[in-house]
Amino acid sequence: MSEETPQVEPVATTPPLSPEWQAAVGDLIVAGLTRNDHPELVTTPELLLGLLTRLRELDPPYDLLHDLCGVDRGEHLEVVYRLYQGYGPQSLVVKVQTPRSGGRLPSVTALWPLANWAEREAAEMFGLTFTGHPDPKHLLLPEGFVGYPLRKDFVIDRSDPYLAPDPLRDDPLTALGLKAEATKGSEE
Amino acid sequence: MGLREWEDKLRHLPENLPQPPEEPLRKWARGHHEGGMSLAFLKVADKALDTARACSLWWLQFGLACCAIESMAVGASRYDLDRFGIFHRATPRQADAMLVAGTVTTKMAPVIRRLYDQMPEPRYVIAVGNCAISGGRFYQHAYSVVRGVDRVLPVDIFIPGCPPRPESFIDGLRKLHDLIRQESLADSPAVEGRRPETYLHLRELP
Repeated sequence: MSEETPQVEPVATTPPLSPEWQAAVGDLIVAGLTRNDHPELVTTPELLLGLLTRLRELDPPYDLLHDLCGVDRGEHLEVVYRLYQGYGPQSLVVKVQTPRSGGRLPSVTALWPLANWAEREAAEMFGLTFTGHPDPKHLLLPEGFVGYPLRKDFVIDRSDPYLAPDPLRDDPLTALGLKAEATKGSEE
Repeated sequence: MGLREWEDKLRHLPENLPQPPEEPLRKWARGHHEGGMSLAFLKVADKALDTARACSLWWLQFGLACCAIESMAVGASRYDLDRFGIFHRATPRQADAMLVAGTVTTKMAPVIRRLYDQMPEPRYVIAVGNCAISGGRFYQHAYSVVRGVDRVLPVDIFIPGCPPRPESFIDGLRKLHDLIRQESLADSPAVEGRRPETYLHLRELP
């Protein structure tokens, strides 16, 4: 994982990270920029826990985990952490990139118990593994579900009788044996 | 089995067969017709019992998605299902009909099936809304939605709509009333073949 260096291309209109931020967390990120006046940090799975711990110790601290979700970027997966300040104006985005297969990330449930369910959902929907998660089972999907539904290359299992296509709905005339009569009527 | 054959079967029941406790109406009929119920009495009894059943339909109270909000509106005072004798019951053991209102997911389908199995006969199922009928807007691309609740339960009435208007609910309800009023004691579930319970056991239940 550490061999691949995540490549992030900042949009031309987004200014780079401010020097204050660079001084605060520069050693724990691989890229950073300012988007909509809020910092956006990109880090690696190895540095993630140290970065989030430091963000919690800033003044004022980023003590609210607003959202945690996975993103399918095509060649790799991404996990996005949105942080807020309980006693300040700023929000912040932390992005971590993992390979499509065998992506492992440290769990942040020790920092924010809220991350428990969000990590369970991201794990089942994108096939990620959060090491150190206290309850690593499915949240929304039934047990035994095959595949990761929110990946772009997911294909529905149409052999499942619950999900199989319905010929009566797809082509009702053929299913009811009325196809020939219908075409005859239209020719006339 | 036809009515005449059923009557013949009643007449020729062996006397030592263990009989269920005799209902008052049946006892009265036996007194007036040697060996079994007369056809005239059967019609009267059918009318009385079907009317009673149709006019006190108790519904299993549960909802799955936004159609359940609409079913709450039907049950509330503006449309007032109470005037049809309909009450929501919170347990399947006291319910006559099940209103599958909403999106049936693959995770929820075994639960619905279990609720249905706990309801006493005769029981009726109404599929409300496009999602319960065929998957609705989730038909093409959803990974978790059952394409129609009739893959899980035998459905009597379908009410289309997304969600259906309360008037549609009441219309489907009246169609269920018509269905109940067509039933006869001769086809009672004690006799085989009243309603073919060809369950769609597509999946093993957990």
